Amino acid sequence: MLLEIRNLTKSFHGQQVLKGIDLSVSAGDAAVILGPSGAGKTTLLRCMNFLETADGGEITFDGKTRPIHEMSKREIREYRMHTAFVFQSFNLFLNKNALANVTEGLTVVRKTDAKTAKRLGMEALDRVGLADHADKYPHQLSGGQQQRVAIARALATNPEIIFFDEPTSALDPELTGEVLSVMRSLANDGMTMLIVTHEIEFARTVSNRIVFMEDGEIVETGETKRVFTHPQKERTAAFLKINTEPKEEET
Amino acid sequence: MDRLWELFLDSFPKILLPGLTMTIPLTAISFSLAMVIAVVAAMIVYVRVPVLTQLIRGYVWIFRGTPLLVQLFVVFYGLPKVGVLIAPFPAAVIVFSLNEGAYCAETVRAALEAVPVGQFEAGYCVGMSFLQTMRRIVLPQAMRTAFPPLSNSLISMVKDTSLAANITVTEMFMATQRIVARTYEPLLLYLEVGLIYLIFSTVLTLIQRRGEKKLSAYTALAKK
Ligand SMILES: Nc1ncnc2c1ncn2[C@@H]1O[C@H](COP(=O)(O)OP(=O)(O)O)[C@@H](O)[C@H]1O
Ligand SMILES: [Mg+2]
Repeated sequence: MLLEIRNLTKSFHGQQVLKGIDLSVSAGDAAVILGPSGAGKTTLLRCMNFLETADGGEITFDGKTRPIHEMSKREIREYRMHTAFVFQSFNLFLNKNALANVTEGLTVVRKTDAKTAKRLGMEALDRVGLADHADKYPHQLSGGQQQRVAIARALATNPEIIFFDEPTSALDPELTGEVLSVMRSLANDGMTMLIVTHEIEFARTVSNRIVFMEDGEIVETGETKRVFTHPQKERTAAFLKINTEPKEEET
Repeated sequence: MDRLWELFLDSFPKILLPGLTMTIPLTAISFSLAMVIAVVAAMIVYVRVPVLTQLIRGYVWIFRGTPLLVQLFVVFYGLPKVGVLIAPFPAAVIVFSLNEGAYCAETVRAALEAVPVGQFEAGYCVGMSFLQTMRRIVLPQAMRTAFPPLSNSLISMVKDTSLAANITVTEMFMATQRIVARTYEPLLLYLEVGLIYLIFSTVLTLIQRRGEKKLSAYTALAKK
């Protein structure tokens, strides 16, 4: 078990958005969280990387279990040294070029020397196919390229797990493929990933585990093939059915 | 006509010199201090540090809401009444930097607010602290946004330093007044000092343009 959360709760303005989530991720997992909009998927990922402060729950990481809201700033930063996050809106550092985006976490946080950082940064950019674009600023890159730089930034620090929050939702349809194929190659390399996405086909073919969420709860979780072929809950079945049917409104 | 031309040529260096030795240093020192005040004040208000935020709001309120000339008089002619004697030049520096700091604090704060919150979150997620993210990511972007209005403030300040003549700082305007008193050619001499201010502002405007061009390396940014 690499990372486990137990009974995670979170409310916004008195409305409970996460109603006691239990979730565990093993090393090498490519787990996909599916669920309708508003289910609490983003909030869950954000709580798991402390971008939101959960109201309650426990987190186990590196064999240590801690009440989630008792984690000190230092403990959170220490934890984040081992995780990475890829945002729906990329959030590349707008004042830094692609390479600097990727090396920032190395030079500033991990005190890697400039030469090593550059080498690692170029390796990471190369892994997402953007070594040629190292000097470009975010606004000089397409959305798909920006997201790939964001993935390179996540990779550069050699995290134990990467969280993805709908990494392709902000992209034009023709640009999603390049991002998904980078993610697919990471999964093949055994990178541990927890991915929120609406790309059902990607989920079906790349993930080894599906977590289906609705209304702040995990409705069903299980091995990908099993969930797709024999969903145990009606809600899961209905969701998969709607989302795998050819979309009529797009004609 | 010849006499006027001669007076012009003769007085030009006499006005320009205090411009170089007084007006420019006064502006440079005051504006640098104002920037420090502005950035610190803006960050405190931005993160809403309790008590300090209220103090800064009060400071900005007072310094933006009263005339610069009054502020100069209070510090230079008023404070000695309570035993605080400050020489003309430092008095001017204090007033100009506090006054400009109040205006620029608002400019910088607004620019900070305009940086998308995702920039902070991305910084945190690569392991950076608040201060690291502020210094390396957010503040540089905010200063890019704030650069044009701050440049305008600087240009205004060059001109406003003429008010320091009122507290006996022998800057350009004071120097001009003295020559007028001697020669009684107010029209020529005041136009002349105006021309020199114009030259100073123009040079700054040109520098501003070049600066903006340089900084535009990562512009188009505020959109995302
Ligand atoms: N910062 C916030 N403030 C208030 N409500 C929020 C906030 N973030 C999310 N919510 C609410 O929490 C619920 C779950 O949101 P979210 O986690 O974004 O769902 P999902 O990612 O599954 O679409 C929604 O009802 C949303 O309106
Ligand atoms: Mg979401």
